[in-house]
Amino acid sequence: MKYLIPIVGMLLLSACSSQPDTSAISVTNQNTQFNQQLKVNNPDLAKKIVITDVKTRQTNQLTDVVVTLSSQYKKSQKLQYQFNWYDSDGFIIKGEHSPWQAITLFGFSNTQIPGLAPNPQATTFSLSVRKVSTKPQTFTN
Amino acid sequence: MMNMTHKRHSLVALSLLSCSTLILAGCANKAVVSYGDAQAVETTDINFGSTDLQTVASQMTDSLLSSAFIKTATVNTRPLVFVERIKNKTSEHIDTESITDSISTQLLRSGQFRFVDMTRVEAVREQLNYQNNDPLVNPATAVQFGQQLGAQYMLYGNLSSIVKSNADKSDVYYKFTISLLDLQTGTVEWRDETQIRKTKEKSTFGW
Repeated sequence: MKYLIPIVGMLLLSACSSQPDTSAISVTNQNTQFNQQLKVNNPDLAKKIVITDVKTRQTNQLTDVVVTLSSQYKKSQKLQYQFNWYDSDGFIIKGEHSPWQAITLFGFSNTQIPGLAPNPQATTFSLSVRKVSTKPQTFTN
Repeated sequence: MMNMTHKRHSLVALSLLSCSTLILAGCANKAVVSYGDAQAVETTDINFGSTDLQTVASQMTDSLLSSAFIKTATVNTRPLVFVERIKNKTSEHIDTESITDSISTQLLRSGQFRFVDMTRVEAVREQLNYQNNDPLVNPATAVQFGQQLGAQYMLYGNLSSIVKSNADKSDVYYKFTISLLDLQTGTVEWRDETQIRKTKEKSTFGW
């Protein structure tokens, strides 16, 4: 009898805890020292992947960028990434949010994530990387 | 007396059990409406989805905008393009016009291209006929026939898929190819392809 309540409680918790962890790690290129710009919201994810390099150049008057992701984990990781672009005043370019794109990072491997500015006004960017959730996502404040 | 206590205990246990069952059932059936992120990776099923559409459009636009062809073609001019269509060669129903709409929107936003819309030719003709032939319109303000520009390039492509499945696993592979053809010379000036693989496996655990 006295074990009934904890068991029911555990069942309730497991039934309802379907909210995925959508926190990320991200980087911006406003400074050449990208490590200073690195923002880690998800320490668990940061243990498994590291951003090792950020390169930018101009291609056809557009800012072209590659960010190198390095896996620190033996298994494959299913990740998604998104670039956001900003003009020289730091305003986000509306409607130009690139989609979250899925990427598989194999164990202990490196991969380069390419991004291209949507127009010549876009000069700086931010990249976010997070795990792919296979569960439906809800967003709360 | 013992019998009464026993009865009361079993009654409490029964009511607790039924109560928790009701709570569980309520939790499972609760309908929640919420706004999601339209750009998020969507893994509802294995069919062609919003993530595939956005990935294809974004990668193809990036590839065209960073190509060597753009460097020469956009000097002092913005090439005029018409979108033919993306042939859907998959076994699914896919609105390929939606893909070309996304690509042409992103190319227009880049400021490097101009487009002619072949899907609205009849509506334009109707309007010009009205302006030029209807006595209601001041002839001085009517847009004249024969002033439109001809497209220099044609954008077209193919979307094909290979689907395989067995009892435990389904696998789908999409290949999207898109080309830009110079209408004057008939040469393909740019072409690129992107590939998407999706797999669905039966989960060992979970409910």
